Amino acid sequence: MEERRAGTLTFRLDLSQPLYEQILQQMRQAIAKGEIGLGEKIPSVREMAQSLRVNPNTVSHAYQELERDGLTETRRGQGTFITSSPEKVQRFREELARHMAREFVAGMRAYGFTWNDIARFLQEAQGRHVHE
Amino acid sequence: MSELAVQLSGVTKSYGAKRALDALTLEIPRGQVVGILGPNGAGKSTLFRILTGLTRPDEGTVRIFGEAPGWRTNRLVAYLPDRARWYADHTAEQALRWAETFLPGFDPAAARRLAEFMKLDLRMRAGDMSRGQEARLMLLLCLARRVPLLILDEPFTGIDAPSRARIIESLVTHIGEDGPTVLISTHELHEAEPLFDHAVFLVDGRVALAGSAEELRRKHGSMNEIMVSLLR
Amino acid sequence: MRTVDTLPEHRIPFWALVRHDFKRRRGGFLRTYRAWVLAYLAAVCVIFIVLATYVARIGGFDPRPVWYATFGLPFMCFGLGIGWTVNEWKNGTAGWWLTLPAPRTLLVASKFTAVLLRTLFIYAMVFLGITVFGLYTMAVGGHLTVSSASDFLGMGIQWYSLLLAITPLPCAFGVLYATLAQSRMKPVIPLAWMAFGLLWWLLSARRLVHIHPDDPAWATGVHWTWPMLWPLVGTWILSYVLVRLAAIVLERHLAM
Repeated sequence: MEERRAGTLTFRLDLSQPLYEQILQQMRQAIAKGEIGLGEKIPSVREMAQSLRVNPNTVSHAYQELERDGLTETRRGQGTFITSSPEKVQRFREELARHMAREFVAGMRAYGFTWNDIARFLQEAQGRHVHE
Repeated sequence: MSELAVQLSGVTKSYGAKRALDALTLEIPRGQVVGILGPNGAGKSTLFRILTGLTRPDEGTVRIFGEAPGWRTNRLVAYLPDRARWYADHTAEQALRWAETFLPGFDPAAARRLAEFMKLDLRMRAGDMSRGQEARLMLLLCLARRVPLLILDEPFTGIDAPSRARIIESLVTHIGEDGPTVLISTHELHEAEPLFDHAVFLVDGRVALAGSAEELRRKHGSMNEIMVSLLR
Repeated sequence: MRTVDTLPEHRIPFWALVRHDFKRRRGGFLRTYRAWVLAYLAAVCVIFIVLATYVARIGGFDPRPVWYATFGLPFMCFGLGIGWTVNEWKNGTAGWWLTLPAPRTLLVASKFTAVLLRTLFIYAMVFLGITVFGLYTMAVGGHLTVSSASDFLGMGIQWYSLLLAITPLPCAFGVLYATLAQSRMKPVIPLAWMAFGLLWWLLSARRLVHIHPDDPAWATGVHWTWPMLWPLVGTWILSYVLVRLAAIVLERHLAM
């Protein structure tokens, strides 16, 4: 695992996993958590590739995906910006949460847990989370 | 016009009893950054020497942008030879002038920017340089060329880690969309592998494994891990 | 993006390459030990003057045969041809040199020309040295006259023109020899020596190269004669052939 900084962002890249997915995921998280503000300009593909020392095609691939998510928009001649609409980010976060929740529930069900079990485990986990 | 930068089919090259390349078949599309990887003696340098017309294959055909390799195709190729040195009596400044005179597509302004970026003193004589400084000089002579194919044979040998990082950064500015095709052989996989679009693993003069770098990572892990498992 | 189609044809400027090949590549030593080099040069000059004065004082010294001391110069340029070519490998620059986008004939022709120019430069220096030596001994011996001086120089010029005329051959042979040594054709080298020996034998058998200190003709000088012209033209053609052969060796038979 390797830490590389690009502007205000820090990326952790694992060379044994596809880099595009890691860059995409960590950008998504940064946007969802508000680490990059709404309407903020993000580094160009080339700048980002240079800071991360990865192939620009990889970065560009991730940027395209972000745009498809509705999280960024490219303004002609000015560069790429985080969307200035909070609704879009909110929609993405909810989508993401929904997706993760469904995955989680499906996983638990596959092991034969009932809804009550799942709720109990979630509460337990939350308790531990609070103590931490 | 060929869409392939490099094309080899059934290329065999022997040195005495040793087969450096064994019926090697390989196609490299334009604009890709390709890591040519493998243990010592796998045939990487031989492949590069064939692509630059330094040596001829015993069998098989080779094409660079659709032409047979030779001095004519070399105008399209920036080649960093393996274990190369620079003319000891030249200062870096003289080396740049040499390149401007003799190497097609050489961009002196880009070379100066690179020298500054790589922290290379242009007044220094190659004979007085450390191995790392000399390696940086030779690499910048290649990187400052606007040609469609770069062939870098072990460009990081003898270069310390901070300089390697800077060199990789300057490489990044050259590659990508509309950039040149780049073939790199290196043992410094950890730093170089994030640059690759594709990787080709050679073992005993044959392709042992090849594919898109991301696909290989998904299936087998990092290039470094693949190397280790291939050698087992 | 620049593609094969848009990248202009490129011509390597021949004389720039010759200038590059002509440059002394091992200047480091001379520069580092400048004081020593100067001291040795001064010592050589002193010995030279003392010797010249000594032989001149003994009397009856005829400086004319001193010209024949330059007999070894063509052999030296053979060595220069080898050295300057092999240096590309020895200095690790062969990869740069051989991937220049120029036909190999041009690369070899440039090396050949550079070696030839360096040889001419050395010839000129030696000529100057012998001229000074001859005139000095004549002056000290007290028989320096316009006619003796012009006789001495005339003989030098005759001999030198002969040397110069055959010089391209050893230069070309040196360059070819070096490329052979770097190629898979290395086993051919003894054959090259045999060919050289045969040529030498032919030349001396026909009395074209004839050195015999007792021969009275040698005391008075070598003269150009018409029958010498054809073998000389032959050496030039042969030099050209050797340069082309070296290019072919580099093109097809490199052991890289």
